[in-house]
Amino acid sequence: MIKRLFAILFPAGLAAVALAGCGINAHYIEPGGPEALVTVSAVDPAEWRRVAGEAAQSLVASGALKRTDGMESVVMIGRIRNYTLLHLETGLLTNQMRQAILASGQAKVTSATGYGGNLDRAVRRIREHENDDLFDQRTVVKRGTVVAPNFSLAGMIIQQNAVSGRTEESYYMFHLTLTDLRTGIAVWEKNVDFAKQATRPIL
Amino acid sequence: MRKQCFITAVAALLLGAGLAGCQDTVNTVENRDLSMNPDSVDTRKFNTDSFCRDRLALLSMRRSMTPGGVMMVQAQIRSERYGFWSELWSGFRGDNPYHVLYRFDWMDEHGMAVPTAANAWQPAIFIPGEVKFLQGVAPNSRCKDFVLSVIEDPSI
Repeated sequence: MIKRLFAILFPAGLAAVALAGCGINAHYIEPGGPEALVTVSAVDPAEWRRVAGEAAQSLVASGALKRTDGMESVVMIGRIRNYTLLHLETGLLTNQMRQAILASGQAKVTSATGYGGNLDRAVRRIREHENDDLFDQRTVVKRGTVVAPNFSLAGMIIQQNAVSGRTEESYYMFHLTLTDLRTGIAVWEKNVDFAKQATRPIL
Repeated sequence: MRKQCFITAVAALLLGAGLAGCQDTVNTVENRDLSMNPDSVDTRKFNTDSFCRDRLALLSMRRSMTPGGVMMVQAQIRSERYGFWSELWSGFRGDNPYHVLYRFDWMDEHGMAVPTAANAWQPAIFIPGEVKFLQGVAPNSRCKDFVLSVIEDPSI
């Protein structure tokens, strides 16, 4: 009886040890790197980085940020409209674009106006203390000092899904536009798109 | 016995030929007398992946200045996975088309790497025989030197 019990328990124990060994402990991976997950039903971190990288390269290479009238280029980050069925944090794109524009040295980015997390309300709020006797009025920032933007960066994200049998495909297109705020003319546009496909197993 | 061996060999060869015949390869044609005058970049290569080295051939590396005043480089790369044996092997392994990830790292005049959004790994898909231009744009006008890294896409 004991021998039979041992014969059952020993392989079961070995199987449990083997299965436990199949797991991988929590570990760091490179964001957007080769180990990052690729899913069909979402925009993955690697894709946000890819889109931001391609768009930033195109914008910097185009020379659209350079002005001929001698004025400094100041970009306002506008709204990235989400026309997908997903909840997307567009800040993952705009934050990278802000940094790329600043790093290029071709323009500055304003936080005084913009959409969502690109707007720093402190710029306006600090000026509300003009007559506040709590503050030394010589140190309160005066009105009329904020530099207005002369470019606006906005865009949209579009998604289209297709299913054929067990194969599912998602197509995403990011469209970005840089508009000259004086003329209202789009001086730069860029599409970055990608498609992902996966086939479900039969069982 | 000999007959059985012969039948097996013929069947294997036919299967191989069938698999190789299923491969889609790219055919190209270009003008013979080229009018372009590219600014070619002398390159130094450091290969660690012999599979990647044998499957992709660097045809040229060119650079130019963009209207934005920053340097742009393009690596002209061709997939070498064409021909009977290559197509047969990639048919068995299922690596047709060939998926790779590439990244450009840029250095400033002091040799310091400049991290930007454009440092992200970008995917590229090569059909056998296809020629692609992997493009990198410097993040600012101070960056003149670069490193192009290419790896096989492990998610495929």
